[in-house]
Amino acid sequence: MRTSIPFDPIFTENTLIRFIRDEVTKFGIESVVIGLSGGLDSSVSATLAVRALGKDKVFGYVLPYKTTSKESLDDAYLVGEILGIHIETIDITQIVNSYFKLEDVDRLRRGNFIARIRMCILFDKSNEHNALVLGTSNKTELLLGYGTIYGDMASAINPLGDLYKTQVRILAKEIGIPEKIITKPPTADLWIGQTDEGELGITYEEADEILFHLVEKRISPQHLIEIGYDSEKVVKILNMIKKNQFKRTLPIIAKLTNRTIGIDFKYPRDWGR
Amino acid sequence: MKIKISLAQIYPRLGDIEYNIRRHIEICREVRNRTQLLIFPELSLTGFNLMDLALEVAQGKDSILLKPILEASKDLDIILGLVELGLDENLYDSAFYYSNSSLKAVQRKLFLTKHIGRPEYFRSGNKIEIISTNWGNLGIIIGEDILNPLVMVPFIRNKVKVLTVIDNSISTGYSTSNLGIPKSYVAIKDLLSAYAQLYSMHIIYVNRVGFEDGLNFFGGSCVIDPCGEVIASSPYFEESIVDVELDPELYKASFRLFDFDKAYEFIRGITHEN
Repeated sequence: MRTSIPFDPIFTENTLIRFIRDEVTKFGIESVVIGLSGGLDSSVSATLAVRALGKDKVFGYVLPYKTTSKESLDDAYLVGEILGIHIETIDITQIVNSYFKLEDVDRLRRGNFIARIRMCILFDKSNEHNALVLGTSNKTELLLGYGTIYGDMASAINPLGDLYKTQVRILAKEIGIPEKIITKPPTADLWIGQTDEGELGITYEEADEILFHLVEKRISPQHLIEIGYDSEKVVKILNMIKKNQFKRTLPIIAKLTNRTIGIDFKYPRDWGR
Repeated sequence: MKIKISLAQIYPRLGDIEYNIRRHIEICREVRNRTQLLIFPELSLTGFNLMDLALEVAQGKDSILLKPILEASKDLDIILGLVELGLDENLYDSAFYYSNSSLKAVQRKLFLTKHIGRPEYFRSGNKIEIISTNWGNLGIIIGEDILNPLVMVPFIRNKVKVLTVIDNSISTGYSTSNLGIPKSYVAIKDLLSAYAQLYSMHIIYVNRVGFEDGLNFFGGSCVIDPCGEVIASSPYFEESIVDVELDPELYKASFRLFDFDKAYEFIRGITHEN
């Protein structure tokens, strides 16, 4: 059972470049900062930003922890070099270790902390450069909740948030991301040997196809199973979407008045812009 | 009788009605010597994704803020879009047609869609205006109202020569057969082309451009003749003013394939003619 997800990389590239340019500059801001991991998503976001704003307006930060692989670092520098953007490396090992000291914490806690330290640095740097933080979370990650809330999921604007991972790959080819970055196994690289697909227990191709049917086509999980999709995988994905809804919302507020923020006090982000 | 029309594919500033009025007046000045009818997109004075701002930017028919537009229509007919504050104190997604320094017609959006929670804020209109001009009858359709085929019947019956569709169409979906163009736009253009041919009328489509909270308005305003051909078009994504001259009399209602009178009888109850 294979269904190709419709996609138009030309329209997407054009739209996302304009999206970045428009949603940055209408706030009187000219630049973005972005964390470069050497992975597919940050490479694509950074490339789009350069095409939208120019290479002098994109500040890339490589933020390794001691377990970050050399391959990730090399790929991050490669992308930075190809794009000709400002690149700075800040090793966060000391910051992380000075917090946890010798405490033996599990890798998930440490991983989340690493992701949030990176967020702190990017938002601080955005202040330094009068820039916005450019996000890199794709739709597959956002739907499955595969990311750290207030960590890598935090940004000011996110060009990739409506693109499934497999679509990001197609877009990456279109915009000339090096083949080795497109084909290597995706990883958050928060601990040695971590891969997205290993942790999720499903390939991105499988996940995206099921998500596409559930989310875009609104086909019921029961029907998907009836027409031949693996029931365990369908149920797993459905549960991940539900379980992680909190990561896709702002903190909920206890309603006390007639105009509660987020409930009945609703204004657009682009108010008056 | 030929008519010169200008399509103003603009990028309104969200919720900033004073700025948008100034921009409208600038464009009126720019085209006044070369055009007879200037058409702006849906909600051109206010922007689209207003949420609670809808209540704050709404204007009544006699609003003092709109006086410069009224004056600009002395020698230029103007169609624009705004949030209308009705006499009943409800809000409407409306088009105002100004001519000879007066507000000649108001067309309210008839069918509100679920997109962006709009029915929360707006009421739907309940009549279709047939606007008579010295070059023939004109109709205005706002946004998704075009998707309801019954809306077309009064225009067909009243031999509307020029149908104006003002829109805030958001780009959605991928068209695998038309790379570079969103599926939503391909669908609208195909529909307009079919309508223009089927009902022997010129259709003028005016969409906006720009982004609002990530929503992307694609532009692609165009004029389609009764043969279904695009005779003028605006670029995608970019603000632009496009001029076109057309002859509404060239194509007669008698060229139509079908007799629509029966459909008219059916829908007469919601039709208003002046």
